[in-house]
Amino acid sequence: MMRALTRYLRIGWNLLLFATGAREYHWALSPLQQSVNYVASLASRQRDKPYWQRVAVYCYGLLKFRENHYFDGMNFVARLRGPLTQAGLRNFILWQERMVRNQQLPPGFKFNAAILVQDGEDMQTDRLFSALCLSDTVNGFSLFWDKAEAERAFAVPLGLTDAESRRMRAGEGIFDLGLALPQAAPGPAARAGHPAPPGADAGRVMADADLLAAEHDGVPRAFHPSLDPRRQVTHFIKIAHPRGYRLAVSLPESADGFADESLAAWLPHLQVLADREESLTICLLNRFVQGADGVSKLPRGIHAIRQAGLTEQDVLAFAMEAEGFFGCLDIYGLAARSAGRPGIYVPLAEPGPEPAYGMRPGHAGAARPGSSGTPARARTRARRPEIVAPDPEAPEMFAALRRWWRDAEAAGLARQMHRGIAVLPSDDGNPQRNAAGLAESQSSTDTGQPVGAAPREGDGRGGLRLPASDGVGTREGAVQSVNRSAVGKGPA
Amino acid sequence: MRGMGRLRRILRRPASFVRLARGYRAVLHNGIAPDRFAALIDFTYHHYALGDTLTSLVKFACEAEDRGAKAVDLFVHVNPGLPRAPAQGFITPDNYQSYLDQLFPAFLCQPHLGSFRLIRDPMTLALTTASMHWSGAPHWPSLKQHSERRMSYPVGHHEINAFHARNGRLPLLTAPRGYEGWARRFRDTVLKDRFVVCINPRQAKLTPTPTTTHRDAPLPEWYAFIDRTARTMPDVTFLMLGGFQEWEHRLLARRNVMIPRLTGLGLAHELALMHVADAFIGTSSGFATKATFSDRPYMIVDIEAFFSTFIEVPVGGERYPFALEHQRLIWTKENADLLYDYLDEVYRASGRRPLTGGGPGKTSGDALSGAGGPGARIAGGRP
Repeated sequence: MMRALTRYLRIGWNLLLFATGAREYHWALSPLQQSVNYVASLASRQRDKPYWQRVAVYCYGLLKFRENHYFDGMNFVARLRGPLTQAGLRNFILWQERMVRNQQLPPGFKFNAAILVQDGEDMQTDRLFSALCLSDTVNGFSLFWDKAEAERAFAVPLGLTDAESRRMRAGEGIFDLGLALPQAAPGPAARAGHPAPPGADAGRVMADADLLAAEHDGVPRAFHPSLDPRRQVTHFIKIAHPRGYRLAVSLPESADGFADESLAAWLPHLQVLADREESLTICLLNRFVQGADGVSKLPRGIHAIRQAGLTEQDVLAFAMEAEGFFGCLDIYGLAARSAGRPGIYVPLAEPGPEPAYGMRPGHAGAARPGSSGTPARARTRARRPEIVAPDPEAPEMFAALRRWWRDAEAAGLARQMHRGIAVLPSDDGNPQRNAAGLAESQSSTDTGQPVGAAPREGDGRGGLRLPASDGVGTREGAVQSVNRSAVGKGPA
Repeated sequence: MRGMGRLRRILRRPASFVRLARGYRAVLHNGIAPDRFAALIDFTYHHYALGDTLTSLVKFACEAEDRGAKAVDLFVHVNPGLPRAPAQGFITPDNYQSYLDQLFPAFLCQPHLGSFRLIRDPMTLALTTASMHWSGAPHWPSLKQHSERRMSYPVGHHEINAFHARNGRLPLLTAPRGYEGWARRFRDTVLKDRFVVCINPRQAKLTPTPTTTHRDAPLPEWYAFIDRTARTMPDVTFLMLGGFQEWEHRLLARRNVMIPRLTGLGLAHELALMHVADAFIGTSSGFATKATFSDRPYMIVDIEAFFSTFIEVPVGGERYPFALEHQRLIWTKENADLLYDYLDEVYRASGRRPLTGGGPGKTSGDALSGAGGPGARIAGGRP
């Protein structure tokens, strides 16, 4: 009794000190905030009493208003022009890394994302929403098709906090989901605006080292499959592909989000691999319009897994679960990368060699007759992609993949993609070594050496190093067994 | 001097309270634009159901037009700790994302959609609902309704019928925003000049969460209908809509049937394809609701008698009050002849003529092996 009385007296005294300005508090700890929060929680428990529910609404509204008044770095705005392409989805994931970085917020804090759609009558948002549902980074999510309404909503603290709104008015802090990543590794040159790759819009290149680093490391918090995708993928694997080595493959997509054109070009090369390795299962992750007709005729060992009814979330979970990954460093590539899957990741924004020559298997490396080639072209031809890390559970499979990849079909495949191939090696988690690797990579960039062409440590040519153990690196520096399920794990 | 400083501090605090109150009041009054309609779907008492969601969207559109709003701002609230209404106990904090993801394309069918906002934070929801109430903007639900957190199901057509009675028209659902162009390209390049019929024989018993299985369609009747159509109308392609679990493997053998989910397409694509199809035939369910609020010919079968009061159509009534030509309701279980007769009617109305032969209800080995002629195979190409 006395103890309770003392407690209430102390609370009353603190309130008096606060009300008279004799004592200052952090806004989140002030007696005002705590009192309103207390009343709101009491009122919200009265679920069958509408009057108290309304009291709770006003109290929580006041708390949100205060939060918007004082808080900063909670809401993020992006812009999207035109259709949502493979690169746009990839950027949506990288944007989440941007949210998390440089924030003095508790781990696990979730952010609000708003996307302003411009000229987006052909913007298909279902995959974006699926990625959002998989994310552990984004909480609230808004899509605005109407610019005027977006600006009005951002102006008041319903959409943005005061500080964020001020930045918006100054034209800062809007992320463009349609931009291309720079080709270079992170470093001063990239920050200063690295020259755009051929074929890319020179004015639309993200000059941001953080984004490149995120592409390299993956964005673990962006891929957090809930119960259903994980269960679905586990069942699928047990029923359809219980044994062997499952290689997730992501092909380049058209603006509509389908990969039919790429499949026609890639299929002969994938077939070579599938024929050579009987225990290998190539699992295509993309959508194919002609699924009912064309894809059902896929050769043995190649499967379009969406034919089994996997949704977008399921496919992302599968990319994290498969033993290896091969293909574009798009949203699926980032999912596999975030889960530490070994594989060959082809950056989306890479410039490609001219596709018209050397198409025949066995002549992949042949130069175009009569062409001496520019230095850039020569560098592209010189690249020899590597498997990132051999699988300790199936070393013979990775050896076969490595052999295959070095064969002519692989180079032919690269040209079919109209892109150069770069391998993003995994790091071994040692921060100092990481920094050194990045520094070396920066020096290689400055000298025009592509990151993907980086040779192994010790061959005297600089560039990112592969781990000495050839294991899949984790942030803790331990070698992670690639056979272990990575789906459903929490953020790093 | 020290006394003056203390006095200033004492006076500053109440002044800050006044500023806070004024600011809060300003937000409440200006949070929602008065010329827009704000609609809130709160899944703590709404159902994750395609049909009810689509009906609600039409109600919002009617009310927005009645109130002269320029656009509809859609607010969707999910409480991650309690993400479902009491009736949907199978939805949990661990799996609600999948249900929300599957339903998302439905929101994009709102004809006047200006913005979509997903709220997963009770404080943001509170500020939004309070602002809806005080800003004077047309909105749904009222603060009182929202505080009660109750909703009766199924969502009725009373307001929709009343709107139609006043205006002689309805704001129809559109293809999901961003997908209409794709659907038209798909129609032009893949389906080409085929007569496209969307079908949805409901099969809840094949899903992990079977509910109201008495409404499930008799599949043998549907197979007989599809096979007979393959013989007499070889240029008809059926698009089988619905979840991946909701169809039997037997459909794969029928070459006049295309299953969009088999190719990785989702609900958004299916709803968009309904928009460009020639007709819809299906059980009373979510896809039937999309057809109901469209201008495409449809036949909805096996409507339950209790639904009569909610849609204001007497049991046995053949049409909704706002129905257009060839839009029909059937209150009994379907059979192959009933389905075929309706298809024959809309097929002829399009200026085509079925081939003679193909007895009623017969299952043909030819149809199963895809001998509906070379045209029965879906042509190649891509949109």
